[in-house]
Amino acid sequence: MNFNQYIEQEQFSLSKSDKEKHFFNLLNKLNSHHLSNSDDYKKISSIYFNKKENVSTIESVPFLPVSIFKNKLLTSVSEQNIYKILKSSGTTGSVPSQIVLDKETAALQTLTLSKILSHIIGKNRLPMIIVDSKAVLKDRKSFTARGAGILGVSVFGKKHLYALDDDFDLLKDQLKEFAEKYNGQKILIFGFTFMVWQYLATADLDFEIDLSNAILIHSGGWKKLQSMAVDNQTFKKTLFNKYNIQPENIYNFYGMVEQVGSVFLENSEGYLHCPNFSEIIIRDPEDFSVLPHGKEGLIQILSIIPKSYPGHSLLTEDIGVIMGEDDASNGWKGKYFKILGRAKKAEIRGCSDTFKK
Amino acid sequence: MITGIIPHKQFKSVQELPALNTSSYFIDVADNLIINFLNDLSKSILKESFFKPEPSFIALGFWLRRTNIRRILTENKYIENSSAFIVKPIGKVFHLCPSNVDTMFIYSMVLALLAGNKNVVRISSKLNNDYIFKLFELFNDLLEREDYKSLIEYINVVTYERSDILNEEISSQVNGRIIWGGDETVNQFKQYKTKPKVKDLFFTDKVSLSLINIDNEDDFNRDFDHIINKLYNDIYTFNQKGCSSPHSLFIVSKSKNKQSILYKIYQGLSELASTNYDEDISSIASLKLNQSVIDIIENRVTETLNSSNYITFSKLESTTVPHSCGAGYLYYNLLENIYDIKPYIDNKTQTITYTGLSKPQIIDLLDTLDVEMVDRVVPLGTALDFDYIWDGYNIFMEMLSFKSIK
Repeated sequence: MNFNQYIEQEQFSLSKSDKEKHFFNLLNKLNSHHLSNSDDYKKISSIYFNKKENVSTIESVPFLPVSIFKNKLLTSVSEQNIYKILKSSGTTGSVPSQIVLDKETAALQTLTLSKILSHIIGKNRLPMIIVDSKAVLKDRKSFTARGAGILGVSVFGKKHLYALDDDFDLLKDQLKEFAEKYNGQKILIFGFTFMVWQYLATADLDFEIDLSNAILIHSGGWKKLQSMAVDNQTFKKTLFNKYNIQPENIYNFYGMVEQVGSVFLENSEGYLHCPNFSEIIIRDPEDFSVLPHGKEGLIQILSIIPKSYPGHSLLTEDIGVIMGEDDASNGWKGKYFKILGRAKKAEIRGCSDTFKK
Repeated sequence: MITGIIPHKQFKSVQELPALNTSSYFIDVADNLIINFLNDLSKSILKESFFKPEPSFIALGFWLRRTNIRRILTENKYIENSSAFIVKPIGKVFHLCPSNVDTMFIYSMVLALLAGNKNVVRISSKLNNDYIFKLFELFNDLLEREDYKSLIEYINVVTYERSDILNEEISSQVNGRIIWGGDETVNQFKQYKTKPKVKDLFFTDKVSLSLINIDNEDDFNRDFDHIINKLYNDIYTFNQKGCSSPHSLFIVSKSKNKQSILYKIYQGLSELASTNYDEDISSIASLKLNQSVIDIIENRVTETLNSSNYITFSKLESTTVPHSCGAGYLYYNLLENIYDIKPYIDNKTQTITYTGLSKPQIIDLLDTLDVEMVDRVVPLGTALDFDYIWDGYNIFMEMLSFKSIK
């Protein structure tokens, strides 16, 4: 299967043996592309990973730390072919990641996201509610992960309603009006997990708002909610009780600006599922050796999409565990996993930081 | 608002601090009251099981004992032995401490106290080291005793959000400042208004290294476990982030086996760290991978040893010795001769920890370097052992004022 045939495959349709063969093939081609086109990647591959040539297994593809994009601009295309540089910071004020896109990779990014999302929302754009304030998009040059996420998903909706005002208060009347206007039609709701919980799920309502036709996609992690003892089940149940949103239409998603093509959607088991374009490997933090399913470690994500920059194989700072493969009850094929948390930011400070804020 | 840690209370202004609001001095240089106080503090630390896991606090406990304080006084005996002058404290001293887990600032405060000065110590509002706070508790407990009560005018530890106004207000009222915290902090403090004759001790950005000289491989192999243990302590205490923690390692040997000696050291450290070093492995693995990749991209490093994430060795391509990211990341090179280390040393070099060198060899090496270079050459395993001579200062003596009498 060549690249074009591969990306046209129905999502979540490839079982282990098929995926292993075709995915690795394409990944290996992409790896040799980066070896020939990025001197930085080539040096890292040879010096850190001792691999001067192409590799023979998916596990032996070198990986870059995801934080490198905060420190270095890495590229595998010539300067005149750079179409845009995605900038995104995790939180306001932190150093943004910079991702180099050429036209081809930018188009593929949109295409892959669309392939994955259309698997659950269908091919048509849906009326869309964004659980955030428009203010989050104010600075168009450098988005926070929240802003970037909203923009990325917005293209799958129409008639966008930003459901929060600048003080993050829920615009209840507008929300009710919107729900009634599109009553009986499928609508899309998107927001960051914490925002959805804090400002939608637990908002005080004086009247009923029925969102029973909504598909809710949320992202951003559970860390804040965990500290409030809110788990996925409570999250879904609260939204069901309050807005009648069907639990099976609520999808968590995990992805990052640093790796285009990698969008992991929640499957029927409540775990994050690898799309055809991506694969994950769990590595032992002690020596980066590969861990079997069921063992927790650092999450490595691999994607066949990033061609304009060497981001096809990244080691995240997230800790996770593979929960299964090919056997989700909704029929999705591929590996699925859960995230257990993030490596505590190594708070290692030197003598020379009394002054730095 | 100033939050007092010693004593435990809020202060509305710097004038309210006991060390700054009174003019009477009742402590002499090397006052017995202070020596007793420090000895009692030492006892409280050493019998407190809370400190057991943290060797740097145990070391502090021993350092504060009467016998050690007497050693310092004896080594500085000449200051009392003159008929031409008498010595007095300089007055009030402001200490600024780094926010890493370093205990250095405690030592500098103790030396100023031993010299009879009143002290205001500002610790970072970011400091979240339980051991340090426990130590302050022990201070407070002692200061409640009848015989030590009056010392509250001599020991104040405070914290406040970063504030140029408060920093300057305190700076303008003291006779001495001891500023830990590197170049940036030092430059900031140089801008504040002070008394014209303030005595400033500045601890600037420094980098330290280890030198393992192997004249005889059999000796080295016999001492191997010892060497590794000492190297381990030097590297991993304070997460390799003390100014005297080695950031690079130089192996000097005429042997053709240098590479295998290097592997052996790597292996030894990796084994020891994997059982003893308890920093979160996921974070330090990410930290070191990121540092390695940056070093490779910037052409600083051409070879790495990284089979264990507890320790990374990166071979230096040039003679510029960078700061490592800490937590067990060492730059290295293999050398033929001890003098080959000279290009790696500059005026930022603070401590050289060594094994396999004699004192004449060290003095010989220092004689070939600029006077500005290298503050300290000490045996392997003692990188973090503080003493009153630090970064080129005799801190104790700097805290004294000499009055000429003829």
